[in-house]
Amino acid sequence: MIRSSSLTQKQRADLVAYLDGELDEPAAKEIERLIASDNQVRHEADMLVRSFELLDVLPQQRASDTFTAQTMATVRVSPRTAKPTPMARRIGVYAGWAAGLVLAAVVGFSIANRWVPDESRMLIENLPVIQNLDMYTEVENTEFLRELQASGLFDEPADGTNQ
Amino acid sequence: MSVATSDTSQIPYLRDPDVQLMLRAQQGDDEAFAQLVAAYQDRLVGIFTHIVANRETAEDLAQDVFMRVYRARDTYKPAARFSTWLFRIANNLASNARRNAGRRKEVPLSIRDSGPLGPRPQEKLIADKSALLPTRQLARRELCETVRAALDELNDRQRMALLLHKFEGMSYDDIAVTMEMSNSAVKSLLSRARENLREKLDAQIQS
Repeated sequence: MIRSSSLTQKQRADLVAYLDGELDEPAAKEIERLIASDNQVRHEADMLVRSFELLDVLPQQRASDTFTAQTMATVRVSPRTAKPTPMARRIGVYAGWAAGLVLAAVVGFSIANRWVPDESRMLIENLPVIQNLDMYTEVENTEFLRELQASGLFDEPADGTNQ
Repeated sequence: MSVATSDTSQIPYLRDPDVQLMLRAQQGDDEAFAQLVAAYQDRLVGIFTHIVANRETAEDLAQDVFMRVYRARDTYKPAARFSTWLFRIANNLASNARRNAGRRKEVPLSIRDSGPLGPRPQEKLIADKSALLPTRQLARRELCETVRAALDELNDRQRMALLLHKFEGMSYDDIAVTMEMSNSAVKSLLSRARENLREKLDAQIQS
């Protein structure tokens, strides 16, 4: 195989592009100069053209006669994802935001309800004490109340009368 | 129905008649889509046959391309010529097919390959018929096999670029868009493809 060893890789690429009509004018002129002045380059160009033309011997396959009909039948049964109208899309966006806000509110409330101490609950639980707070304030400590109870001074008579 | 010509100045690809058909398909015109299928089916099957070397697989891949185009019609925007966009889809499918299935070469059965029981009657019939073929036809068939083998020995990207350039007449710019490469990369790729092809067919050319 005769191969032009005088061409650089760039010149080889330019030669192919020149043969394909893809080279700009200054580069094309340079390639033309090379072809005119160098037998090996001229031979290389000829071989590139002929090898490229040999691809024409390949048989060109055609689609079967029923291809179009089969393809159309197949695409028609495929589900169509309809493009939403602008209004429908806007409504969908708003609905999504609304649902998100509601969900955020529910989650926030649940968290607050679970972890944040409820002062009202504490008051409710201690309501009996609060209702008698004035009386309890009068009593300095419970030890005195126990001694009073143990003394029996305030025990009620068995017949229920006061003496 | 077609897009108004006043719009073509703003979107240059609107002048492409196939883009017009695709826009009609986008509006629900299945007949327009059928026209696109009919226009491109042979070209797609041809390209795929050179790549996968199997007619049935090539038709399946071509149908896959049209399915993807049909599914994408709602969001289609003409950012390139229709053929460029179509063959970009084809290129991606070809790459996937080759990656998933590997290359299956169809080796013509010869008498020598028949096994220990000798040639089957059909094989003998084929061999006999070959012997009756005019020499010219036989030579052409052998040349075709040689060229096909040379094409098969290129790597996937070189082969695709060569096929698009040769059989689709695509420019370097179009190939760059189709294969998602730069123009200079396409130039380099085609240069190597053409050189490799030339080397492998040197004996055929010299004879």
